[in-house]
Amino acid sequence: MANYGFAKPSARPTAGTSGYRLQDEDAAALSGGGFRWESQFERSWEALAEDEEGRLAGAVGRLEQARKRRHRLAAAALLPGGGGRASKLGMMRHLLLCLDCSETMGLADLKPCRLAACLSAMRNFVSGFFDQNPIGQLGVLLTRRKLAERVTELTGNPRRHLDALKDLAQAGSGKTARPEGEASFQNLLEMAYDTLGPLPGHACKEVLVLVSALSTCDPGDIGATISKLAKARIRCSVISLSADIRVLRKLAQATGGTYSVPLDAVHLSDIMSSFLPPPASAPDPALIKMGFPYSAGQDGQEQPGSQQDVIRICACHGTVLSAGATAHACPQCACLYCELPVDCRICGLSLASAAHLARSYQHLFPLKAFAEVTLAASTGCCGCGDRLGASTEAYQCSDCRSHYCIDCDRLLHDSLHSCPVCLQTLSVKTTIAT
Amino acid sequence: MKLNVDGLPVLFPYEYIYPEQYSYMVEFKRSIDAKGHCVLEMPSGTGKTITILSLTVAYLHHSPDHVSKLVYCSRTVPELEKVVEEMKTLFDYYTKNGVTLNLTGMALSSRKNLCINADVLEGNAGDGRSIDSACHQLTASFVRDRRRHAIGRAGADVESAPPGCQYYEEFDAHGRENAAPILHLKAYGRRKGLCPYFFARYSMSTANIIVYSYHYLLDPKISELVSKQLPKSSIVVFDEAHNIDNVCIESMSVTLSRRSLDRAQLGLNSLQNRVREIKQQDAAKLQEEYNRLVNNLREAQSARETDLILANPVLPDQVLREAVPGNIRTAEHFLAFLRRFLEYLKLRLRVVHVVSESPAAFLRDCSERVCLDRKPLRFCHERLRSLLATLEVAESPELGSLFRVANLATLLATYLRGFCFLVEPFDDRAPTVINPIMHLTCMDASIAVRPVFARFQTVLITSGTLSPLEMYPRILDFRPVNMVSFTVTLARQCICPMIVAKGNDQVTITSRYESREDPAVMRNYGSLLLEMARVVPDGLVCFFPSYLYLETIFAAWYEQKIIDQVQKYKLVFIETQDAQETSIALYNYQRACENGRGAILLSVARGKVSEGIDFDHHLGRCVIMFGVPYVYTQSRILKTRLDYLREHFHIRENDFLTFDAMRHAAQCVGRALRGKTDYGIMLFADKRFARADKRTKLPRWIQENLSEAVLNLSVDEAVQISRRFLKQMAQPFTRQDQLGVSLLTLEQLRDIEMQRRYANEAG
Repeated sequence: MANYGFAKPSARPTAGTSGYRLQDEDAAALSGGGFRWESQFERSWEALAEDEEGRLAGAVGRLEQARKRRHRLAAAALLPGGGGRASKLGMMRHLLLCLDCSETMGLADLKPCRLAACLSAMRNFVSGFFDQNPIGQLGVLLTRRKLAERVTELTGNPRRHLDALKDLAQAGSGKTARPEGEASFQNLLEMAYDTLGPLPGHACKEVLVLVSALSTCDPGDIGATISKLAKARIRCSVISLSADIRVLRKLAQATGGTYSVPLDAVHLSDIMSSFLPPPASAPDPALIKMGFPYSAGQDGQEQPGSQQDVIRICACHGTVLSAGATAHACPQCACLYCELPVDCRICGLSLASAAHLARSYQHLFPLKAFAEVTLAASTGCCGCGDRLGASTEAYQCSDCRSHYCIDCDRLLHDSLHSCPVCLQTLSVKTTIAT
Repeated sequence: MKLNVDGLPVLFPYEYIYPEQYSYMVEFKRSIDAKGHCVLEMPSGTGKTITILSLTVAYLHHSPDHVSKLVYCSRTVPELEKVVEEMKTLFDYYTKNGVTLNLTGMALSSRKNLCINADVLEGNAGDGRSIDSACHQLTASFVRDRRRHAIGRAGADVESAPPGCQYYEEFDAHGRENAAPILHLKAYGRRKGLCPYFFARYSMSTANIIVYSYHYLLDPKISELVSKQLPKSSIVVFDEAHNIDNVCIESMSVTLSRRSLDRAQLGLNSLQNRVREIKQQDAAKLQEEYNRLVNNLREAQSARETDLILANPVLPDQVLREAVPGNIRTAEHFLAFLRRFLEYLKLRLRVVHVVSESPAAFLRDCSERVCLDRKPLRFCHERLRSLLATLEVAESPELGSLFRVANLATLLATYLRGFCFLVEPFDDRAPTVINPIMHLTCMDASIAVRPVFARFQTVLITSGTLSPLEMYPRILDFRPVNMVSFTVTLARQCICPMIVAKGNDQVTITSRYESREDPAVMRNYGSLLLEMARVVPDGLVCFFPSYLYLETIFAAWYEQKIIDQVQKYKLVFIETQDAQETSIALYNYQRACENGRGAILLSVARGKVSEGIDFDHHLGRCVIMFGVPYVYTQSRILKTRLDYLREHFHIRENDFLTFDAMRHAAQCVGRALRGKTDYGIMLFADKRFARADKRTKLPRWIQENLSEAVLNLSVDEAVQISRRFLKQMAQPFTRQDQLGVSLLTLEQLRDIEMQRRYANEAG
């Protein structure tokens, strides 16, 4: 068996691994200055149980193992061979990430406070989203002081969202979000509707709302807004940090979204990551005209007749492109863009690079779910080479019958989307054929 | 689902059954087999109605000679409608399974709910009493006679005849051969042009299942008219019966103020004029009545001997055996007699101190001062009714007051025990305003209900909150063959009862009389409300022991700016004594819960809200009981009743008060949970709830969830528990999770039944 010897993926949950953390003083400022003894009792000991020898280490390991398995099961259910998976996916995702920034966001039941935890979960979500949906677009809204505010426009550039979210979280950035006032979900949803409503039928329109408040302060009838959203087929999902709120559950039900209440930070990130793969329901099937822009950089093909010292202005931001920068020109109208994917401002053509489309393939031709088997004899994991003891759980590729440990299984399905042993056999075959 | 309950095949119209429903059927069937009465408690929202209906329908179907009728009594119109709908589902299910039922059902309601005559409804919209009298003016037999004569004389000139009700006429002409539908009686009546009210009353004699309100059976004035035809082999079900003793007492009590005495005087005058008129025109009629009275009420007695009439508690047997006494046989004498009695009552009302005396003392005083004997007084009610029939006078509000006076006389003279005559010169709350009121209070709930227990073979008393069960047989004076309290099997712990005993500053919170005005207690109650408003989504319902306390504490909260803070999170609505105002508040409360603003309803235990309104799902995620809802103990009526209970039933005052407070507390908090998918927090905010004597009087299904750890919480601890509970409950919950635990299919039921049988055999 081949051993590819790649490093083991991190065993920790995704929250907080992005290398970005709130400073302690920020956390204190955001959490609204509540005293430690006023906050919730944490019964972390209740989750632990001693094993037969009275040690905790084994129990912790088992907990970790159970968590991994749960994650694997949830992921595998979506894969062919693992469970049902709709044949039609909404690949052109347009998702608005909405954040409630009302007073209750300052509560400290998530650490360091709800707002900080949500912002960090959102950052993880943004990176994951563009990883899995390269031709998707994202926008960020928030509500506070009974108003809705737009943080970022609907765009396919992760950088901008990440920067905006970082500004929101960082103290002294000038744009720091402080939990204040009441939330107005009607205003928020109206703004989402204004953004998503005009999009064409083939676009998959989604709204994901992170809610902390228990009530909403609206200028009108939120029921009308909900039916408007349902009619426009905008799928609204709600993650409520507090409890089950009637009107928001109605929103989720009416628009075909989900309603979930996370119990803790890990659960929150689990729920968030369930929104990463494209949703099963298909929008109107349509052939979409797409353009592959050519690169209009310093040394690339220039437009005929243009001169070196012409000032080039990027159409998406209206900024001057520096002399050495690469720009992407629309094949139809030659308009310049500094980033992809984007819809051309002039002729409306969807511009994407071939790499984006190729990365979207992972959902169309995913790696099949591995079967869970109990090993008869001890063997090595085909990924990391660790020993897999006899009568332990292992995961078997259905094509090449090679065994993997749970960490490698997750890595292959989450990031690599291919089985290395199968690939090797394939390349051997091609070599022989040629 | 086809069940086999102890040998009886029962069709149950749903695919799944709750385990407690099955046990309920088993216990209920045992009582029917034993031909005895029973008391069964099962939590609300577990489908009591359909359980009772499907068992009794199966019984009626399979052994009609054993049980011939089911009389289902409930309290409010919406509850009755729910029963009718369930019955319809059940009947449809029988039809679907190819079983033809020879059973008919019928729901009787008041004229107010059933009348379809536009002329009657127009002037008296919503007012029950005036609709009754309007109907009476159109349909009383003498009115109809007169109309017939007029039409006969005038030939085709119908316009000039006295008005009648076309629906009633149509019913009288053709309605009796039709079979009544159970649902949409009004729509049916409109289509056919029949009067639904009289149609329903008529079908009572043939229907096998009768659904109506308590009063038709318990109120002696109505039951005489409506329920006397019921055979002995009927099953009577009192649903929502936790207040049945109060209903009994109310139906036997009379209250008269100076105003109603004045009105009675007016009625008397008009009667006197009428008698004078008739005497000039048609003296023979009065003579005829006199002769009839000489022959006394023997007819009524013969009817009773053949066991057709339900015993009338107002008109006990010995009354019927005697002739109407001579001094009230003629109309003028009787009216003079009544006038004297009325003057005497007016005299009694002129007091400066509270007077409380027994009926015997009253009668002696009466005969000494105005020379009115006990015996003629006893016949007042019957005699007045007979006179009205002779004089052909339709009922009116003035006569209603006169009837109350006659009723008072009859009750006083009939029952020497169990009643108390009480005159209060002023209201306790306004001791400076003279507003004398006269009460004749019944202290013994068993008087009104005794005929029901004596007559019917099986009477079922059931409700969601009947604990402690042994109290009901004692105060209603009957001997049950079966008393069971069912718990509720839950797939998840969906109720969260807690007792909050202290505030965050460790000050004990209680609504005890001595510490009610304590600002620390009020502040802590306020902070409890505020904290819960911040944690609980959508609807939050609060109950207070009395309107007075609600007003005081609200004023204090207003001053302490607590209300301002609460309104940031939720809108605040208040129940008042005005029914109209309360229903507007309720409507807006529901709207605020519906559209996500969130709302708080401040209401009063024993009020309209605590009895009839369900706060299911988001409408009541949390119920807070501020203080123990003791009844107003300074009331003289209550004091006399307590004395009576102690002397005759050996129930200690404190026991009864606690029992009464706890059944109302349970009733209030029970509003939050209306089904198994529902969930709610139940907060008891008073230290006294934690004591064993209070706690053990809660229904079993609440007690089981009330662990030792939550008996003495402070406000912030309660908030933490609630927060965790609400998150837990918001997790996805499907039917799959319930199956096998709180929801059983037929196979699972069989398994469990088999297990139980084995266990029984082994034991």
